Amino acid sequence: MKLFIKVFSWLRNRGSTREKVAALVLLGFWLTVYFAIPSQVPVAAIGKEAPLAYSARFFPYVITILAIILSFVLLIQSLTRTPSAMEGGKGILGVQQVRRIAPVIVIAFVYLFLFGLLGFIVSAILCLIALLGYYGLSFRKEWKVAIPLVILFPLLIYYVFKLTLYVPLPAGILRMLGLF
Amino acid sequence: MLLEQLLAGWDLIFSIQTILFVFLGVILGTVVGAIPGLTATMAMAIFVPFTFFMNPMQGLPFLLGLYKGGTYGGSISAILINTPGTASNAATVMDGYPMAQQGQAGRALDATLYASLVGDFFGTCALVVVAPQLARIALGFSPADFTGLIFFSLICVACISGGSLLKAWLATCLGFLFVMVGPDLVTGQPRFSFGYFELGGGFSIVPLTIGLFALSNMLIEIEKGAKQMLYEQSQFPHHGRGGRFSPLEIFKYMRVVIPSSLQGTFLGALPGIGAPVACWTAYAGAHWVAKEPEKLGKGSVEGVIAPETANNAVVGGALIPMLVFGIPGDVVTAVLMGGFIAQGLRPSPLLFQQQPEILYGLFIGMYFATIALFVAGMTMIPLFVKALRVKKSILYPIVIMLCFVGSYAVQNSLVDVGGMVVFGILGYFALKIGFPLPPVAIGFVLGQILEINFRVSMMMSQGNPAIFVTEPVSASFIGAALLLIIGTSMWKLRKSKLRVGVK
Repeated sequence: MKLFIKVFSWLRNRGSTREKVAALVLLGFWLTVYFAIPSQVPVAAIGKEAPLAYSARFFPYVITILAIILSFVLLIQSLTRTPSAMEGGKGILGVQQVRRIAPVIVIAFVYLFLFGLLGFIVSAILCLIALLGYYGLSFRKEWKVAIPLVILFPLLIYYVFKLTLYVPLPAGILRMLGLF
Repeated sequence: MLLEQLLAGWDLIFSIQTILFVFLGVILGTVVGAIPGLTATMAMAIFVPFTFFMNPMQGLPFLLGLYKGGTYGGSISAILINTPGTASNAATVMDGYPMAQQGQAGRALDATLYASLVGDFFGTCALVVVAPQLARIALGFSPADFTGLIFFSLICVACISGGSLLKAWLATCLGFLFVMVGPDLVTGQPRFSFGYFELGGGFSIVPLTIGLFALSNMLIEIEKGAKQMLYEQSQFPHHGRGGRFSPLEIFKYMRVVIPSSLQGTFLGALPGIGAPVACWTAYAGAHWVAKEPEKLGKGSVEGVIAPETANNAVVGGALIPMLVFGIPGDVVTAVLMGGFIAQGLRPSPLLFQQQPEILYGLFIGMYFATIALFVAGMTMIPLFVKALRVKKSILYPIVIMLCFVGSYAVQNSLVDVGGMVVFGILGYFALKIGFPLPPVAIGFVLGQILEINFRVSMMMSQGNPAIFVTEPVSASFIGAALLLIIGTSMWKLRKSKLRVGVK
């Protein structure tokens, strides 16, 4: 146990945290995929079982084994190289960054939920209001831009898709009210 | 023969509607390309779904116009506000912005336009001449040869795309994994569906590319706190356009234009390289061939001409492997392939044999796009400059909304929209930790073709892998790929040793 804590502390203090976490997550992910292959990739029972080389499992095994090896090498690299030597990236995800992007992701999922419930136009209007408000557009000061944008843009998209592109976007609640 | 084919293509494609769609594509592409934070790839990903139900002779030229406009548009912001609209215009900043600071913004913009037109025309001519010949050769390729070729292409993408080799290979593996979700190509049984009906059909390329390239970039931009205008009027260095650059003046710089066109076309045709490498290579090459190399970096018109010629020549070059082999030359063509597939046109040598009039029609469409670029560039620069002043608080919600709608349009399914959001989040984290995204998309596009050709080859050889080394074409590609891996690894190792040595 003491040895484990020693090794863990040693590993924790070496290399780039961002890279270590990324390598460990990837290693865990690919190992999960590898062990999922037998249950998730059925081999068709057509007479005699096909050799592995041309079965549906061959490529998944090749890719996951390759990815596991690469993830392991990435982990070794993250422990042996200095953080500045690791290329690319835009920095660790901080609280401020999470605070900035989380609302947009929440709006996206709420939009998905409302799309099915209220239809495209109403959900798009609500989504645009939320996004424009989040981006700091003042509806009181810039109502001349905001109101036409929020109402006309979804209507424009609806008609372009429906009349020009023949992609039916659900009108939802507006159809129920007899408006569309 | 070529002329007959082009005339047949002309008959198929020429209509007022097609011309209007090409113009629209060029204008939209230029506007998107000009705005920093938005890219040609993003524009392509968002607008591909718009073409699903269009006539192929209108939808595909629209996308090609978008591609060309997006490639050119980034030079506008590179010159005016010292910020390239896209990565492929980064080299244009070196001389473009100093020219603007010296009161020669107009001259720089004009030179960029004419250089772009010449490079674009050269690349298109190369495509028209080379692609059919290459397709004739490729018709004789066996599945083993295609396997070797795609393997070589994937190694190119991973080795040459820049950044960490390891991360590029991991990103390619991820692309492979995504394409393996869904029905197996041979048996038809679902793979990695985890019992969910929605995953049984697999992922579509359109939500994947919209999420990875459009939504993820939006999240990166949001993270910066995008509440201010794109640029302030006071940042515009000089309102005066300075002396003009006439169209005929470009011919005085042929010693720069010709090598840059060749470099752009050739590098564009190599999978995974793309415009950013081509434009920097051309800029570096200009130091050898320019009339006044000592002025490069200080506001030389040759420093603007070289990268922009190469940048636009890449378009034609990148379409060569895409149309002939179904192997995208860069990430934009990877997304463009989604548009072709949606129209029922799977790029391959057989397409040249079975539907040549469509391909030649598209070649004519590319020439239409060159003309549209000329007209748009001559008349609409003020519009494009105005686009730079659109508030992010208005622009970005519109882009996000288009991402949702575009993803839904693929199969009228909210699952695709949900998938797009997930890919967007994944793309955001990938960018944060330095994983390149183009290999994911290219791995996704090529993974399926590689697997089917590999399995067919193994069936033909009854399970003997020696088929890949006994077939000369396949053996050559695999040998070249191995040499590339060894060469790139040694070069990277040497580079890191030199860096340590310098420290």
